[in-house]
Amino acid sequence: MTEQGHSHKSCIKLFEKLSEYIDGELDDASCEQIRRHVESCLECDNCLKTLKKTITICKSLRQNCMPASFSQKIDKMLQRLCA
Amino acid sequence: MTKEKNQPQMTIQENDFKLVDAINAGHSELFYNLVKKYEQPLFNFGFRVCGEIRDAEEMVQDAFLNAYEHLDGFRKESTFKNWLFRIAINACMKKKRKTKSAPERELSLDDFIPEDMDNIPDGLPEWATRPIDQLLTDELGEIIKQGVLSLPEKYRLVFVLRDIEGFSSDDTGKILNISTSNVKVRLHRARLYMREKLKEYFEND
Ligand SMILES: [Zn+2]
Repeated sequence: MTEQGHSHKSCIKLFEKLSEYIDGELDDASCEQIRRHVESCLECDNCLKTLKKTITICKSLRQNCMPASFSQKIDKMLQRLCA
Repeated sequence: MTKEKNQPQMTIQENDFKLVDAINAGHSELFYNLVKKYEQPLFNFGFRVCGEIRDAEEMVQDAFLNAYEHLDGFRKESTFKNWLFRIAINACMKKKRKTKSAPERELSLDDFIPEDMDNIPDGLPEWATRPIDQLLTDELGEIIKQGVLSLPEKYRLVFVLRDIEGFSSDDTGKILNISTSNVKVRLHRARLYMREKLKEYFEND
């Protein structure tokens, strides 16, 4: 498969690695291959950018805060357990 | 409870190990410090995974009770946080939760590959370029919450640990007792699944 190839197959090969690419877990050669591919493949570029955005959104979610009543309940449990 | 001295060189991990040693040596009141440190992230995790406040509370409570009971068996082969999350998940699994959980099924990569690669969209969808603070509404938060809950459990656990709680792939693997490469496979599919949920939401608006 050539790096410039835009066959369905080459896109799928890269598609499998997109998360690792985003997480910086791929070797340099694979990174370069993906970088070059998305420059000329709109479909994969779209895929990459929407996936990236999805991850950023999920990582930016606010924490769900513990209810105050539960915090008190835990304190009481601790008093019984190990005060 | 005793206040720890400020020792900037000590890592979180060393600090936790010291606390564990002290508790095991009889200073059981120090368990409070460990609880206060991890109750909030544990609750957030439980809520993301179970979807109900009550279940999340139960998970936190069970996790700490179990951790306290088995603390003398903690071998420091992982961080205390990893160990605690592992206990929480086990406690959660043992109990047949009443929550409606998504059916167990495999997410196949094929499900996410665009069928017609010739059918190239006009360009990047608008939401992919909009700044994050403009996107994060309560409504989107709810879409994500429901999306995560509809993930089959084995994908949901990996996704929440990795992308919401911020554990590394290695740590996620250790917590779930699966290989790192397995974490990566599940994570990628879970992310693609979540991307579909977001696409549906933004593009059918
Ligand atoms: Zn492509």
